[in-house]
Amino acid sequence: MRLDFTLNGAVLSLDIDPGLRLIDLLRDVLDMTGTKEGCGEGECGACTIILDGVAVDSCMVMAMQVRGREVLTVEGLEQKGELDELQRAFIDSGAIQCGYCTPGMLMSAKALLMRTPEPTEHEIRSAMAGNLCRCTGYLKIIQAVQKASQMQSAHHA
Amino acid sequence: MPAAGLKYIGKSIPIHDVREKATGALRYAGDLKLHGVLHAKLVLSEIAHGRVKHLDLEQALAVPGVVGIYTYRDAPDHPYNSHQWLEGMEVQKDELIFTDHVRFHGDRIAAVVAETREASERAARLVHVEYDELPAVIDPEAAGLLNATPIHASGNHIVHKRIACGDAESRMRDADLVIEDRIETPKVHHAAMETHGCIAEVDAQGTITVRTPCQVIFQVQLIVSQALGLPMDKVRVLKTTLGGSFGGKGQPILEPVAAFLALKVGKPVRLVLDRTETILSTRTRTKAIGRVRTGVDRKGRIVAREIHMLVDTGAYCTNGEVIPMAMGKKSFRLYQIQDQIFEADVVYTNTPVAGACRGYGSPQICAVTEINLDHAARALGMDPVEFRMRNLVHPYNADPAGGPSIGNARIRDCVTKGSDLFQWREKSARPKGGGRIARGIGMACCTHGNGYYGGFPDFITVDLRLTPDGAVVIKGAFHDLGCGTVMTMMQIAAEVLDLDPSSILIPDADTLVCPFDSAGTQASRVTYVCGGAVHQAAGELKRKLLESAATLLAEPISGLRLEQGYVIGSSGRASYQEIAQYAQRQLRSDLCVNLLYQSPGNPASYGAHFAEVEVDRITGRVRVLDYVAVHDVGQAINTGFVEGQIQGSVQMGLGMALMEELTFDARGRVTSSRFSRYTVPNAPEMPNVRVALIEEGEESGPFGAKSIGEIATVPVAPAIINAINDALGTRISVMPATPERIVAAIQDV
Amino acid sequence: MPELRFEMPSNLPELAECLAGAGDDTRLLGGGTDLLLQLPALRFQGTTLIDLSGMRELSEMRFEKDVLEIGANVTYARIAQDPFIRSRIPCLAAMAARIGSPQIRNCACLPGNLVNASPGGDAIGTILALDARVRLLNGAGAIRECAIDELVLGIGKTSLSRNEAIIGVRIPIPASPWNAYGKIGLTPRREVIIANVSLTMVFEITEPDRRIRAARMVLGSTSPRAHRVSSAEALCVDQVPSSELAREVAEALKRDVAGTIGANPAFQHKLNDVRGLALDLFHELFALEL
Ligand SMILES: Cc1cc2nc3c(=O)[nH]c(=O)nc-3n(C[C@H](O)[C@H](O)[C@H](O)COP(=O)(O)OP(=O)(O)OC[C@H]3O[C@@H](n4cnc5c(N)ncnc54)[C@H](O)[C@@H]3O)c2cc1C
Ligand code: FES
Ligand code: FES
Repeated sequence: MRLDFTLNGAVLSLDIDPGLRLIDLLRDVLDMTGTKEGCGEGECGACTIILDGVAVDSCMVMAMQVRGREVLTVEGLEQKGELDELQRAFIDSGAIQCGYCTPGMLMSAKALLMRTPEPTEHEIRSAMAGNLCRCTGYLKIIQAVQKASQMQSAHHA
Repeated sequence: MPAAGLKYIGKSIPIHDVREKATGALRYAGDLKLHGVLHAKLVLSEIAHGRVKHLDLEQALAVPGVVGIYTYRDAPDHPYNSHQWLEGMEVQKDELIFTDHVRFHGDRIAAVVAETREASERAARLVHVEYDELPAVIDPEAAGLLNATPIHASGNHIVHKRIACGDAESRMRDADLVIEDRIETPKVHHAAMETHGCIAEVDAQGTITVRTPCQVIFQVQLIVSQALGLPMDKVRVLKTTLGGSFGGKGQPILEPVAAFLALKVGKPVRLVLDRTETILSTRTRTKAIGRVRTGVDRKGRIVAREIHMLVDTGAYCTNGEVIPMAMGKKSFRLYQIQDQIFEADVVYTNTPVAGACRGYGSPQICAVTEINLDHAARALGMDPVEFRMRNLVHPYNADPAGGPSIGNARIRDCVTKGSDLFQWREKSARPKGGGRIARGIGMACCTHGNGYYGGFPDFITVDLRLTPDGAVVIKGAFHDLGCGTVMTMMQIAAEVLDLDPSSILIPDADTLVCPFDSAGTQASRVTYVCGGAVHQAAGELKRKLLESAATLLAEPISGLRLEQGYVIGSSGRASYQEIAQYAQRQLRSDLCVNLLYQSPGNPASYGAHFAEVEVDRITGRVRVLDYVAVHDVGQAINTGFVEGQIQGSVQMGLGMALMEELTFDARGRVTSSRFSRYTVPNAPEMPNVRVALIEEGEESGPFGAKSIGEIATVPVAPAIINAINDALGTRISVMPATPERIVAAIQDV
Repeated sequence: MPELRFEMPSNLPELAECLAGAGDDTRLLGGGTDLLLQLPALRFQGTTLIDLSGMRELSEMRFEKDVLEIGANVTYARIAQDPFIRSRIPCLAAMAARIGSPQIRNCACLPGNLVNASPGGDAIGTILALDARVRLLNGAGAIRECAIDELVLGIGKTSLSRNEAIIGVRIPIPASPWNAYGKIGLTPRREVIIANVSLTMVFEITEPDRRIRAARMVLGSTSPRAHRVSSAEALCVDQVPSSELAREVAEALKRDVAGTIGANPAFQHKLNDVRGLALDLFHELFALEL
């Protein structure tokens, strides 16, 4: 079936099996494996991507449902060779251990900061509640989001 | 911040592959795309115990794209024990690639290999299995009973173990008080975010290459060769990036299966499990039921202790014979108890297979003994911190059971520092709250080892080379599980060689490339033993570097020093690059070292954790409000990593304390095989964890370092349970302390 | 080999056409957060999915005089964030804010919860407490309305025929914002949980004397489908909210749960949770010391 959508700023037009989930399209068809699968049932958030500005689990969305819409994945965070502030903050804060949850964490955090540039710690914890991490205990991830938010407001000030 | 007088040791440098992880560029096993790869899907038992009566493959074979279906009828009959990591170790070999005697919900019966993932999944659903169901043994206390159905021909009781010192029996009679407990710890899923998976392929010469996220490449090689009846040199193992392991990927589980399938089909085979398959059919934390009697005198001294652990290893033995000893040894190295007996019995049950899980038995025994000690303190009317301080070991105390020296044991410092940070005194003076919400505080102490010294052969060989472009390449069987092992090694070498870590390369572990390592990433040995090897080898390389530099600069070695990639003499200097090139051209020599390093000891690591909780007396819901963790690590190589290990451990221990548990229905089928039923703590559950380190140095460790990754999980559950008991006056004895159990415990008060 | 088919109506007439052609193997796809758990089976059976996501007109919330109409494609995230809903129908906002995780709330919508008809479906109870009605479109293009308890019949059972779709939910706007929702998880976590018990309370209160004129109380997750508890509701009528009333209501709800769960040991903890939850909601609404 014909699928037109925007992926990380690029307009794509593909012919796909309508039985695919968005995560299958990204990983298996497009070989964009930054988006991870940790459960396939909406519980772990490793597959989080941003769809029209909000975070969704790409294992819970059919590929055909993104027709005409904009998808942002972890691969799209880097702009012109420059890491996104969130990526830098994750690196600097020690928020990345095994890294398997990282793409999903980044996308949930990105969606949060797009809507709420200066979130409280409570808001950060809630925004990340659908992303599981078994390595870090979340604390350095929460700090990283706070740091990125500060970096951004310093930028815009 | 680097440690005093040091440049890289102690510094918080991000993990070596952090950028690729942050951009999503790094490929884990499930992300690899091999040309012509086929997809495998397992057929797992849907019942807890029985015989496969009939297997109907017809419909499955008809699915377009199916290449083959392989079952217990096709798999080789070479029993193995996936926990074996050294040739010649004595183990119970009770595992097979596939079986028709299914012993737990999730046991492997067959696998479908197909051209696409979808076809393999379609076909696997169409394999019809008919069973003769047998009674399932789920409760380990019932496993050894005479009328219990045997799970293996040898019976359900595997082994009895005992460690003792002094005369606990008669000393117990002298005790003023004897405090008894029965405490249960759960079967827990490791929950690494990356599920299990691997890829195997066979080349024209018949060599199998397995790409796998593993903890011990040489163990994978050994087990694959045993299971398939092949010489070891026919098996090559490449470690892929690990998306977490925590012991769960320690034993080779899927590797022999994928290798077998690849041999059958002659093409690369990818076998990647989903979450439910990972929960059911990989490994779990060993369930344990501890019975403990502690005798104390009125002054608060422990006079004798008797511990019995019933260890439930699940349907296959794996490390069932070793884990009791790992548990037992810890109980002689934390408190000064001269008269003590530790005993354990290990049984099979028809439940998912137990294996290594962060702490390797220590979290279980620590929960049993530390909860019991709080009961003892309460019975004595003594503050739990004060009570422990009267009994904790001092540096270099002898292990009364004859174990290796505990070394510079700084548990007392941990407790003192932790009490201050936590404001234990102030908090214990606070009222508990008589209304719906009760508040309480609790703490627990712990100890863990640093490798296998004293138990199993513990050595590693490493190769270091200074390349002619001035970089250092370190080859060794290191497996970064996400904890920062590779950067830790880099920092050690960087410090010795005064070279920026970015100039050091450590390739991924590969059995063809890496010199042999006796035990892999297990037993908290990596920083202490492998780091010790790198430390010593880097010293050797430094010596060679200085020798060559001395010739080049025509100066005596004694006057030379290293600085930021240069050897500096009194008259001139030379870069490492120049020296390496000079060595090759003029000295016909290469600056390389191959070093065999045997572990010099097995000192103990220590820690003390403190928790404050709030409990809803009506609903039994718990909130952990505050948390302090202090660890005696000797010396942090990378302070950020150490904090990360501790914070992550608190998440894991909090899960064990409050919510994580594999549960079963009456027939033994797992009822928590999905993340919606098996919930692990998410961000809103995590308290802020304040971390402090005691860095007094361990003489035999690299720069004084000892282990942290496992020990940090050990005291979490008992600290939290003790806090709940403090809040409510309860005696919670089964973990996780779910709301139901908490309300029941309140009613028992 | 059966393959999954995908239909993408973009307006009501097209949807009606899809519905007219719907067979036993046709399913409507809303946010997908329930349906995708069954995807392997749906694929292998060659199911036809009618995807509603392209229907703009179902993405609207319309406030009429005393009714709020929520289109079938409005996500929980939008409901939870809507300022009007938050101030006037706080129980609805709170329910929506506690469905799953942020990612789930950005996809999932009300109709899927109603049609999935799980005993733990959180929206069912709140919608019932608000006395809402659903609007249904059929294959002939006709629209009818039905009450929630006519729609949801039991576990996984609804009165929906295979050529009907929910296009919107019509919620009478309560005269005063005295309503609240809470849930306690089946597992001990606080966020991203399936409910062990959920509770919606909707009060009609007259201002000067602060007396409760009418009350609707609905329990979720304690019976095959969410239900009103008239014994608890009756206790409130003509009363002024008080700690004592809160405790009586909590006990009445608890008795109701005891009646529905029977002796099943797996369910006994619901008795504690429902009591705690009832007190929580009274505290939240009326700032009572409990
Ligand atoms: C991780 C996770 C957490 C969750 N947490 C919660 C929770 O806290 N509380 C809770 O109640 N639920 C929860 N759910 C379940 C689910 O999100 C809700 O039930 C949600 O409302 C389903 O809506 P949907 O739009 O995603 O439905 P879909 O999955 O698209 O559809 C569900 C069913 O409804 C039918 N359907 C969908 N739309 C229509 C329509 N317009 N007309 C007729 N039939 C229709 C479908 O055919 C299907 O049978 C959770 C699910 C996940 C994966
Ligand atoms: S893989 Fe999508 S939420 Fe876990
Ligand atoms: S860093 Fe490993 S799961 Fe988060």
